[in-house]
Amino acid sequence: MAAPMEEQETSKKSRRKLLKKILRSQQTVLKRDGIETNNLCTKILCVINGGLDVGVSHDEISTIFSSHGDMEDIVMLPRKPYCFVCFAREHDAEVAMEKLNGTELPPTDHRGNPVTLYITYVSKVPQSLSPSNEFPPGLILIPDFVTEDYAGRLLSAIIWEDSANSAEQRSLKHRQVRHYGYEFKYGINDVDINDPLPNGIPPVCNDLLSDVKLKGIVNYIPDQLTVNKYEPGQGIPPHVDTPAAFEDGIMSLSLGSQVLMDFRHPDGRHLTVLLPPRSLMIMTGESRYLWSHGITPRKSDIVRMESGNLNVVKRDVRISFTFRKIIPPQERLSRILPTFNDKTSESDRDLDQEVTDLEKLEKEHVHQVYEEIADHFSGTRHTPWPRIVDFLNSQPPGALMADIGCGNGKYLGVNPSMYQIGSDRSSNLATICRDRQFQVFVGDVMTIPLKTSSMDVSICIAVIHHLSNQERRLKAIEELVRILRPGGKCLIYVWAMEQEVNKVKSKYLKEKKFEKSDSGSISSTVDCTINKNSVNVSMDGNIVKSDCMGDTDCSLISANGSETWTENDPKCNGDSEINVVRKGPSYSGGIDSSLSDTSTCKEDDCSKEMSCIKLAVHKNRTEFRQQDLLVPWERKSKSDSDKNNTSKCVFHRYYHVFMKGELEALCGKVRGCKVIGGYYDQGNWAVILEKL
Amino acid sequence: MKLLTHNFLTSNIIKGVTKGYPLQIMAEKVDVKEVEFNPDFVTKMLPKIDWSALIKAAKDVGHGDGLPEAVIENPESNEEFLKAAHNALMQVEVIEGKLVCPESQREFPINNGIPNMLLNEDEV
Repeated sequence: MAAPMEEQETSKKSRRKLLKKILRSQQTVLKRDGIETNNLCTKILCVINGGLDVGVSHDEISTIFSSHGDMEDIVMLPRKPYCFVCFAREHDAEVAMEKLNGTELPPTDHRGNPVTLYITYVSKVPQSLSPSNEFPPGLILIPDFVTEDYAGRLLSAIIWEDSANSAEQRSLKHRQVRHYGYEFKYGINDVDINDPLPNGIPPVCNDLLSDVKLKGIVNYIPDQLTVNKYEPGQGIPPHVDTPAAFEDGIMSLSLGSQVLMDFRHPDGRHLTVLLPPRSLMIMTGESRYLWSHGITPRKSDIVRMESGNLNVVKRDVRISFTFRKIIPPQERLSRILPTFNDKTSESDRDLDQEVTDLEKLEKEHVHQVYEEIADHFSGTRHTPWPRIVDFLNSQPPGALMADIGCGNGKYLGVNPSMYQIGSDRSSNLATICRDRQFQVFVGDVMTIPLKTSSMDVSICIAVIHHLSNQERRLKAIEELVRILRPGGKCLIYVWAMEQEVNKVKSKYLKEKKFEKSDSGSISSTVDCTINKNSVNVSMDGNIVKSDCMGDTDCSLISANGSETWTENDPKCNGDSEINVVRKGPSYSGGIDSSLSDTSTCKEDDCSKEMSCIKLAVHKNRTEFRQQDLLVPWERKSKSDSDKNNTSKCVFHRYYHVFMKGELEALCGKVRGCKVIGGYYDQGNWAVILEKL
Repeated sequence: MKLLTHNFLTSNIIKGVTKGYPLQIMAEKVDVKEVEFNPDFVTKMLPKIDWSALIKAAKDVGHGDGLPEAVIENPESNEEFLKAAHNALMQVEVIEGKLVCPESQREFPINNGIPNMLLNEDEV
């Protein structure tokens, strides 16, 4: 009897050894996702190869693990090869670990091969699953803002009707909402000021609101309240409250359950904020305008206890009161929305001086640059973007088309059945068009020398993002609409701040990713790491293989995001994080905000004559961290006689990259037209307008 | 610059100018380049253009002969007329010269067939 026991022990030992070895090989991958594992028992298990990316379902894991103890929750992350299983007690986790480590799951419809589960204790989960150490800038969280008693009175003032569907109460896909003051209409993401609800904000809220105003948290009394009711497992998709519709400073009081709220920056940063019961959150500034917020539907949240151990807290019903102050529509036209740089705002002064400097900025960092790089630029732009081609080809024969900011004219020959006139501010680019037998004139998008109501179609591709404040961008769109006949259409493209939308990256990025990613079933975890370092890509989608690729005569970096960046050439790699400091008024708080709201600036911080213009130079292969920036265009030339003698010219082009919804909002301010379409195309935002 | 292009250009973008149309052409060099005749295209252009501005422009550059003062009835069935219009609209090109605003006399140079319509800061 002794021998078989020994044999069993030995095989157990060797099995454990093998499992440990396999786990060790996964450590680096887990670490990259922010997961730390532990030899000591914890309540949370990481189940490698038990994730969605491997084709394992929530139900499978649930069936396997629930028989081994009191399971609190299973957390599956999109596109990850692992999942987390959370138990109520450490002992249960220990039992499950002991029994299930190394379990083989048979093939299913979702996966062709059997998979083996490897299990480890977890002492740190990915950032998205537990509260971050920092808040997005501008976010204020006040714990215990209301008493239990007051919270109870607030809750009892809200009458939830059974299965109601009215302006006051709606059952949304993932939650129930009630509106007071005005209905927030989800179709338009706005309220209708002319259609107030019979019930204003319940009087029981008055104490809270006057307290908030008294404490100077916001300087108005809100006039719109949305109450959301979330059952455990419900959430709300990431969104930014319509910038033009509501004042800065959106307040949300959490009652009932705690919840983790996700905040995401367009550059990919992701912070999670724990909203405890009876806390008041106020989104101001960057956290209100730039970061999206949402709640991932889950039944529990993972929080760190004071002891340092992770704990799983079940979600209960949570009711949030969101208070907003509506900006009257007639005021919205004159409002200029703030934009944000990484640096905190310190702003600006003298308006006239400012405008002159913006023109100077465009002159030096847009007009002169294109004039200089015209040939080189043109050499990299061959292929028209497919969706623009589709738009042009859908126009009838004999249509009149104006391409404002036509560059080298790559859209002027697309549909020869139209009569096409191009315009560019650069006479060198206009000359290239002329050489290609196109009709072209030199002109400015803000003063288009074409007759009012004369064109059937206008297009403006990758131009408006070079204008340095909102007023100028608005003027450009007004001009594009003015030259159209009623019913005429305008297509506008601008570079997007968001270079990855709905987890979809451009083909170019994907190609780069595969070159670098690890092999094996766990390779998808590399995504975020590589993506952080990858090029912002895309203006000219067609790009990847520019004429310069692999050619030592010249190489481009970044450019419109599109051109080549040579992975192995150190000269091409980002040494460009420098600030341009020039004499003149400051607009480090964002050019627009500096123009719009001089009252917010601290007058004594800057002298009128000598302040700095600071625009960060975009670092190649990184996400955008601010909306106003300089993007380098590098041209290297090596003389034939001396191969070591490389001369390098770097040109910096000014850009204002657009946030989601910003282009539509801008177009919404232009009279006499309507937005009939809008989409995201390879790192750009596009809209189609129709003249009324 | 073809005269069809010229037909849509205006200088009313200059601050204070209300009628910057049609721009007078002062040509120094004019070419006539053959372009394939497309009667359907010319017919489609006729309602979109200002005929009197075309006549004036054609006369300015010395190619006004054979063009009637007004668009004739049923132009689509008159090939002779369409060919004359085709020539004026599509074949005559101003290579060097200038455009002059009829109201402010502001001049816009034309070089290498490209009008330069940029304004100075104080003209906007």
